[in-house]
Order: sequence, then C-alpha cells, then structure tokens
Amino acid sequence: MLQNLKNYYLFDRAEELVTYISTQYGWDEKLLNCYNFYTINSGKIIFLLKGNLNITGNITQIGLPVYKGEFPRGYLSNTFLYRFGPYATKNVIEISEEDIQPLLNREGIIIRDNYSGSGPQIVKIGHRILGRGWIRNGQLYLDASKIWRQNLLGL
Amino acid sequence: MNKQPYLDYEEYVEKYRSIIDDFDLFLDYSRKPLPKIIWTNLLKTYPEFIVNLLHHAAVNFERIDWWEGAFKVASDFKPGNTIEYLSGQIHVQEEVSMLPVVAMNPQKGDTILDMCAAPGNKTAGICLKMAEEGLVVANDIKSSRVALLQNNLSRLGFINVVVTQSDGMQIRDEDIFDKILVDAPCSAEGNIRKSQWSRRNDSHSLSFQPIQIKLLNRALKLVKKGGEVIYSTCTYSPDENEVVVNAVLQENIVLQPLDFPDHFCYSKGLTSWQNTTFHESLQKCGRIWPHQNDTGGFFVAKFKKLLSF
Repeated sequence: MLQNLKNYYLFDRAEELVTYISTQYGWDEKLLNCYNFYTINSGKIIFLLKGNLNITGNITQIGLPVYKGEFPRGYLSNTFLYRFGPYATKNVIEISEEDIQPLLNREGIIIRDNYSGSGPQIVKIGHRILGRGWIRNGQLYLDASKIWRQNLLGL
Repeated sequence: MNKQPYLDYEEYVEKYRSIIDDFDLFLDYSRKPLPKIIWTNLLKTYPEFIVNLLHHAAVNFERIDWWEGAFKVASDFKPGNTIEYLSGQIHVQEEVSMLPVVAMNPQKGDTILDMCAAPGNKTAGICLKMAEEGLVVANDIKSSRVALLQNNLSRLGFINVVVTQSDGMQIRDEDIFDKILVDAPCSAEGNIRKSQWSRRNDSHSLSFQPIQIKLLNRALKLVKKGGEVIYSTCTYSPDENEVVVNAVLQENIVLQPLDFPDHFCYSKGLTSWQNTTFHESLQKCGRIWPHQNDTGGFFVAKFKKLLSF
C-alpha cells in the first residue's frame, strides 16, 4: 500500500507497457509479472519496483527507471535494457568489437541487408548490452549519453 | 586557552600505538596504495564473464573467496571505462567496506534501511545479497550525494530499492525495518590509503561524536524488536567507535558477534581507552587495521534489539 507518496503513483497503463515491451523485444510477459510500475506526477519517468512501499520518507527515486518520456512516445531506458536486455529474443543487434568505436563517436554502422528488425533496437556485444540503438537508412546508431560515451572512450 | 596543533598523519596516529599490534607495519601499510576490488553483479552476469574480461585486458587478479564474484585487481586497471562497469555488470568497492554487509547478513524478504547510504556501495551489496526479495531503503541527507546514490543504484539495475533524502534523525518509520545500517559520518582516518590526509588536531574526532550517537540511537529506536543494527565507520578513533557504541548500550540493546570470514584478521573492540572503561561486551566489535588484510581501516559493531522501547 502506498503511503505519503505524493509524487509517485501506480502507472495505470502498465499492461500496455508490458505488452509493448514483449512485442518489441520478444520477452516473456511473465518476466515482469512480479513487479509494479510507478510513475511520478510529470508522467515522464516510469519506475519498476518489486513489492509494496509503506515508508514515509522524502522519496527521490523508487526502483529502476524503466521508461523515459510519456508512454508511448518515449523510450525504454538504457538502465532497464542493461538489466533485462539479455532476455530479449528480437530486435537485438549483435555488433563486433570494431563497431564500438564508430558507434561511440555517433557514427552509423551498416547493418546486414536482410535484417528484419524495426523500431528501437538492443545493441549487444557478446554477453554485454551496449544500449539502445536506432536504424536509419540501413545504418545502426547508438543512443547513449555523452558522458557514458566519453567514459567508454576513456576521454 | 591553548589551541591544539594540526598534525601530520604519523604524528596524529601516534596516540594509537598502544592499541595496534604492530605499529611499524601499520605505518608501512598506511603509505601503500589501496588494492582495487571489483565485484560481479550477479543479477546481470556471471563471474566467469568477468574473468574473461580480466584475461582479455591482461589484468592480474585474484579471487576474494568470501564474496562470490569479487576480485582483487591490478591497481592500474581502470574498470570505470569498461562496458561491464558502465552497464552495471561490475562494481568497484573497497574490500573492507564490504564487511558491514557481511556483518548484516541480509536475508531474502528483509526490509532494510541504509541510513547514510551515499554513494551506495554498501546499499548495492545489500541489494545483491537479498537477490531482490525484500525492500531496501537507501537514505542520505545531502542532495548531491543522493544523486550519486541514485546513479549507482540505477547503473547496477537494482529494483528492490527506494532512495530517500532525509536527515537520518527525522526518519519516522518505526517497527518496519528488520535491519539497519548506520555507516556514520566520521573523521575517515582509515581512508589514508585512498585519499590525502588533511592535517587535523586531536579534537577533530570529537566533533563527529554527537551526530554518531544520535544516528545510532535513532536506528535502534526504528528497528523492529528482534532486529539488528550495524554501526560502522572508516576511522580508528575510539571516540567515534567504542565511546559511541558504549553510549547506546542498554539492557535490551546488546552487542552480537561479527560473522566475518574465517581468515579475515581483525582486532577486538576496546574495553578501555585513556581513562574510560567500556562494557565488557565491546570486545564483540571489530577493528580492522590496514596491515591485517591489506585494506583500509574500519570499525564494525552489530547490535540486537531485544525489546521495543
């Protein structure tokens, strides 16, 4: 039961969100069954939490940020993809070590001609999730923050 | 009134000569750089993948056998620039600061408060050990530190955690928490191997004592009957450790033995310091000196609350 969570409330389109995630990435919907989705007053971030909250403090964040922007116009957060990305069975693009550098430099890399994925992609390399990607004109781009990219480039 | 002189590290720690088993070795280790520790986020990956990373990067490492998936790595390795770190598959934490989590022994289903949580290293360890069965409340007082805490917990991908920003003494949720960690603000004398010494006088430690006692008392008030409170600092001063612990002991607040790993060396808590005598049970506390395990310095105490008050 929620108490004194004046800025957070249960996200009332959770079912739609789970369906979207399952459809886009081929996840088993049961994977997210045991979690609750919360959002804040602005509706721009959706969080995932297991179990109930019954604390009264000045809450600044609950659980894991899942989705940024107003659903369905926003996108799944990279933090969510790092955690649940390995369970995805579609719209996953596996890249090679040589692809990392151009992606971090915001350059596109050419994807194979017969690739059938569409919409936001999960970019992975081996067992590691690099983040959210987009396909534009036959090329894959990585959607990652400047700080994240600079850290990885060792700048 | 005479003002106390500001002291360099070696002058300052001279007062601890009588309570350190090998003072010269202690000084030697205090000058050495601190070994780097990384641990595997078992919710995201497997230790063997991290071993592959270390092999691939030609990094010398050894396993820490008392923490699954933890490795002591060569000090020139920069894990912060790896995909594994940035995607939360690994975390960097000082070895000795993992001990409060070991002492707490979080169980699946527990509700736990980390009262002074930022930057979140111990919170992360607690979340990991609970395997997301239960709830962790990670609190800190400062907004800049709370931001750091949130970033770390999000990067690691923990779901069963709530971050709050409050003065620990203002937390009102009584009888909810099974366990509470008070990793108290302190003079950080035990951090000499990782941060520069700021010259200080002998009264420096005393300035932390009132807040330490208040936070610990608050935690003991908040925790459920039968619950446990872990008190820890990264400092040597008995004024911030045994004096604080002794001040909160009562008939229904007792100290518990520390379940540290078998071969981890530490010294018992003091039962006297200068002209003050403490309760005999303070021997159950643990003092970790840098030379004992090649770590930083730390102090840990574990309380059990027998009755509500």
